Amino acid sequence: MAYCVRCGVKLEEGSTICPLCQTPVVAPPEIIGVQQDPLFPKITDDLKKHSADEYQRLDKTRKGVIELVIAFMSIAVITLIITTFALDGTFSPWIPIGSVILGGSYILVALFVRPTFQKIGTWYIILTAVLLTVIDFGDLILTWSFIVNVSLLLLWIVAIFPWMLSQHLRTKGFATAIIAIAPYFVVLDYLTSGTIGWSVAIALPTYAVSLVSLMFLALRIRYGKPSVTDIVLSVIVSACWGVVAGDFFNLRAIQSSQLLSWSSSVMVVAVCLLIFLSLNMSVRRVRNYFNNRVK
Amino acid sequence: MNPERLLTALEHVIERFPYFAVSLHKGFYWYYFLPNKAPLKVYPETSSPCGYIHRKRGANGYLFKVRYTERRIVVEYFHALTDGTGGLVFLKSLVAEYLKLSGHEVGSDSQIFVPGTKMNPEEQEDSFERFYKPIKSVFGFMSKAFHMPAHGDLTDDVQVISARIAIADLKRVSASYQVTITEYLVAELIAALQRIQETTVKRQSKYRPIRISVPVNIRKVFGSHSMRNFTLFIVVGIDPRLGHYEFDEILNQIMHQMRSEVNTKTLSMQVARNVAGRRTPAIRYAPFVFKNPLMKLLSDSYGDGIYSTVISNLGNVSLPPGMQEVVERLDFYLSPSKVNKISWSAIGTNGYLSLNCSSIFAARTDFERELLSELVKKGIPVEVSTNRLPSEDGNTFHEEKLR
Repeated sequence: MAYCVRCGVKLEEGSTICPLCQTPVVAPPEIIGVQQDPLFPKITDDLKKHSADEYQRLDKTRKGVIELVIAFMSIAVITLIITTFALDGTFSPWIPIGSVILGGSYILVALFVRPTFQKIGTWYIILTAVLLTVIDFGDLILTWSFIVNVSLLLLWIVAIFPWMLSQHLRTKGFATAIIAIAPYFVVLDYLTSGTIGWSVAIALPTYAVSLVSLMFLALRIRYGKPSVTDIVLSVIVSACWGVVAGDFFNLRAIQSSQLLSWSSSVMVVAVCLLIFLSLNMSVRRVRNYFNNRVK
Repeated sequence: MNPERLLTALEHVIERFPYFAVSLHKGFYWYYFLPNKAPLKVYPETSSPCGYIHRKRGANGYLFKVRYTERRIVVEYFHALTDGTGGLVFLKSLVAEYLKLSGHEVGSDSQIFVPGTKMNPEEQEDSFERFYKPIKSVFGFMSKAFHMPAHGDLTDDVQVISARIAIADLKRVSASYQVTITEYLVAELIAALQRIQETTVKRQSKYRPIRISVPVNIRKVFGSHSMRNFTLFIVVGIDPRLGHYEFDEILNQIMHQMRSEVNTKTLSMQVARNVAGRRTPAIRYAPFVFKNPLMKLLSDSYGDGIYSTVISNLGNVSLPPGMQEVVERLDFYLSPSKVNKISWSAIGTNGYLSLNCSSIFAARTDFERELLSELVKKGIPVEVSTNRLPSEDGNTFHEEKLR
């Protein structure tokens, strides 16, 4: 019978390792001894099989929450059906019923699907598309849902698809997704007005300006170490430039003599923030002042 | 061990414990017990205790399971059926009957119920209902306590480290601090958790209170003879956000908290809190599908969440002379939960205390090591056994990996 040199505890007969710290026992076999009567039975194949038959484990919490969600959904659907009969056909229950079932499905997805961002995100986008189609189909004609569903597809391409790729392909995937948004403006323009007008004249140049501004931020993140405040302010600056560009290209499209109209104040904000960001980036004293450092 | 004889002994003993021969059923509003006439079974012991007992298929509908190895009799209970004291009485009665069938003479003992004797009607009562007084509960909100960091893999098989300690040694050390063995062990557990929190949590502002739940057998306090569940918990602890506690400070806090908590008035308030829920019609008649998940959520947040671990000490168990000769050791394991992944249990007999740590951490043993090596440092010899298998890389999860 040996002792652990690290923990000081006495080990049972035959132990060659301390169960508390895994320190091996370095002692002659006569001191280690032979395990005569173990406290717990050794694991054998028979015991494993028996144990597997005996224990059919269930995640009771998950089961309970699923039951609760289904119960709430059933109550809501029954209430809606009763309301329909009570109001003598003046109330159409299909859209609320579809919404209730899909709302419950959002919670059930989180319980059934493997909890990864990609899987849950994909399911949520599919369910949202179905929900919007159901709402649009309430009057038995599909109108706006197609355009919204294409937007959802784009959201999936930008926000989820890159994360399904491996690490080295992710940047390329993300870049492809950003580019994929551009044709969407043209398609949307064509679907709504039958011609290509505002998409080429306003949307695409505005989008390009915002992207260039964001590209500077991406370069700074890649080669520098900006603080969270820097990143947030840079995103605000990019948004401001996007707004200013939108106004600018809109005025050009309507052949106005003004350079900028309502967005001039936004441009002032963008310029001020840009000056601050530049100083913060280049002058140590400014940086230290805002970081509350003495030196 | 003769399984056939054990089964016969079980069949004899269960007649004396009719309130254990029940099965659990699911109603529209609540679960309920019904008498179970299904044939009894005995099972070979598995390598890990405290397994899940399915209420229908687990043990032919029974809520306890009798197991055996070559030299050991084990009974596993579902806590809705009984608590540690009730379980101990059943085990002692079963062992006594088995020994009797094997030709051993077993002397009489107040905790051994002999088959064929008359049952005291109080044994099957629900003492919570009997001792309920309509007192307004004045429990304050308790913040979430420190829990062992969730590093490392979890396992479905309960992993045990069993420490065998001479009661005389424990008595000597606890007497030097002028406290009881339970108070001393609780203080050591808190000190070990404080060391782990100081190692794993970097900033003191992020520290959480360290609290231990100590089940109390309230039969003696209220004068109950029930064999059904009649246990309450007292929660004692320290708040390390106020600074580091020395061991003497911890011990002082624990001693006063434990002694002030165990009195009829405070415990009556807990009984009232436990019973008030089922006496409120809105809760009582709420359908099961709503009640069950909400109760589970409340139990995790306001029950298991407010303490860091649990230690249940069944005390020193006396055995009648005929049994003392053949019983080598007595062990008791408390099932860990998903929130509190480690639980401690202690039981003493024949001059030795078995301090068992049940854990669902697959490899990490730093809590066990912190406590047991501290006992060794204080001059208490500790012998450890385990059902843990040595890890394949020969290296378990201990505190170096956390740093």
